[in-house]
Amino acid sequence: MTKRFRVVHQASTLKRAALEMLFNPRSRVDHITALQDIDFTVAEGETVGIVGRNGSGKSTILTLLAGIYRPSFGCITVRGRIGSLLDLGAGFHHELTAEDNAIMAGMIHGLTRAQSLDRVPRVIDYAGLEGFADTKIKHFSSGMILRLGFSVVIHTEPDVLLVDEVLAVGDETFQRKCRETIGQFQRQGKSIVFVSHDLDTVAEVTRRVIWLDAGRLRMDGPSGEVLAAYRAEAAR
Amino acid sequence: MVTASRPVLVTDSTRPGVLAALRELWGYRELVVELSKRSLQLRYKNSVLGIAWSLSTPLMLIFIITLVTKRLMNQNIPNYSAYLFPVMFAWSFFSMAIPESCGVLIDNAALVRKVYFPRELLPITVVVANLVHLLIAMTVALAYLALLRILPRQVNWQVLLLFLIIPAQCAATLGIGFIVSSLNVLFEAVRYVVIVAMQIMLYAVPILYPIERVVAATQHPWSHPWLDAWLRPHFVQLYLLNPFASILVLYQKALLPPIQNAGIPALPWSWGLLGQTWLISVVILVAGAMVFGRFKWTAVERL
Repeated sequence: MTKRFRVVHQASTLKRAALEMLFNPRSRVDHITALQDIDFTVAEGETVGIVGRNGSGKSTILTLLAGIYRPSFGCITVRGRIGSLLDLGAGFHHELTAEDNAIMAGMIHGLTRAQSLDRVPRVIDYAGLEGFADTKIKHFSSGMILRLGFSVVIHTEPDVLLVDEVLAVGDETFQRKCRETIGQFQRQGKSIVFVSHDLDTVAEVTRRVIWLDAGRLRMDGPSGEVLAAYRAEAAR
Repeated sequence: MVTASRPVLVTDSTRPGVLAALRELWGYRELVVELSKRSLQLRYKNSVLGIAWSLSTPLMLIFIITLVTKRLMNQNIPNYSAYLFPVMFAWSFFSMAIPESCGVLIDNAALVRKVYFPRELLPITVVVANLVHLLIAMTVALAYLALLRILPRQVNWQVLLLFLIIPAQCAATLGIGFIVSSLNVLFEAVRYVVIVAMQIMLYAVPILYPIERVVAATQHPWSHPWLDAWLRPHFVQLYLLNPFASILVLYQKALLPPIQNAGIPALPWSWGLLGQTWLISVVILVAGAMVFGRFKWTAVERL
């Protein structure tokens, strides 16, 4: 699978586009290749970590897996319900209550209204927001919003969990709780793709790690080996 | 834990079939209702009158136009304001939904960039939320016609024609919404083009003048010989090709008794015009869906 992006050098305007179309219809647009010839399979129940430097394409892979982008070449198949933890609280509205946001977000993540309603008490409970269910989230601390966001997604009962750095946010207690939940998911045989800069967490959570280097798959193997090689290169 | 009913998401550089795409959208119908409810709820959260505010602008315009027509232009048409009610409310639907569609992807960028759901839902939600306004407004218009004692006498089963006009109106608006929402992400100027186009469009639809005036204008020779020969004979048909114009004409003809103006006999209700409007609206919807399908992926990357 390969993902290319068009490079936008300047804010695109209608005038430029129209002129291009008129005078230079075959003009080549610049592309950058964010991911080149990436090919991997995550087995059911497997947790795979993705490491790499900034801009190596880690988040792009998750965005592609989530179905938000589509590959320029090649094909991605994801079997099962996807729980995307790319951003906690994405789409929350500050003027709505915690409960309304939870219902909404559950539906955006693919639940029916009935399912979403049914899960709301558990979502609120897990997020530790009892007593705040009918408070507008504009009055919440950022930590409370993150907890609610995380709670909504894990209660959609995903088969495949896409995690992007979210375990690095929130306080100690919340991080521990997230870690526990991830462990629970692993025991339940769900597949997890896990992106992080925190190599210790990656080592702790995953058995297999993919190392991305400038959009190419540099190494794919047992986490100990890959992380050691990655650390060695980073130290140089 | 393998279950047979597990969803499978395949993304590649091809496009899914129309049926598969429609089936997916249907699966999200509850979300459309919920998103529309949210948008209405948020818009009117802090006002006692709530949704009634949406009627304030068209009502004010109706008042002003009636005043200008009757007092300044001395057009003494009985119950002129009654003719304005349905068309002004219908126009209000276009003029709110289309500019709103422009920004719908950008306004929801935080969500669109982080969670997958069919992007089509967002422009659809704009139309559904505005449809609620339209239905309330049309109820008010019918109440007003009843108050003026036009409704019970002249109109009876014809009120049902509204249910044939409104879906066509929604289809045309959604088609345009698809186009402007996706293109506006790629070109910021689209928003300004739309605003100007809507201003111009106000004069290309029969609100400030009855459709009979357009017919009257084609009855006498025009000064420009070329336009007179080529444009004048087809002008009314061309005018009515514009779905904005033909939809407003349909509203008026369905609800109101014929109006005598400019010595031209009133145009009757026309099933042909309804059919033509449906055809054009569906073409706009399909074209809009195609444009959206073509540009939605690029748009998401640019958000």
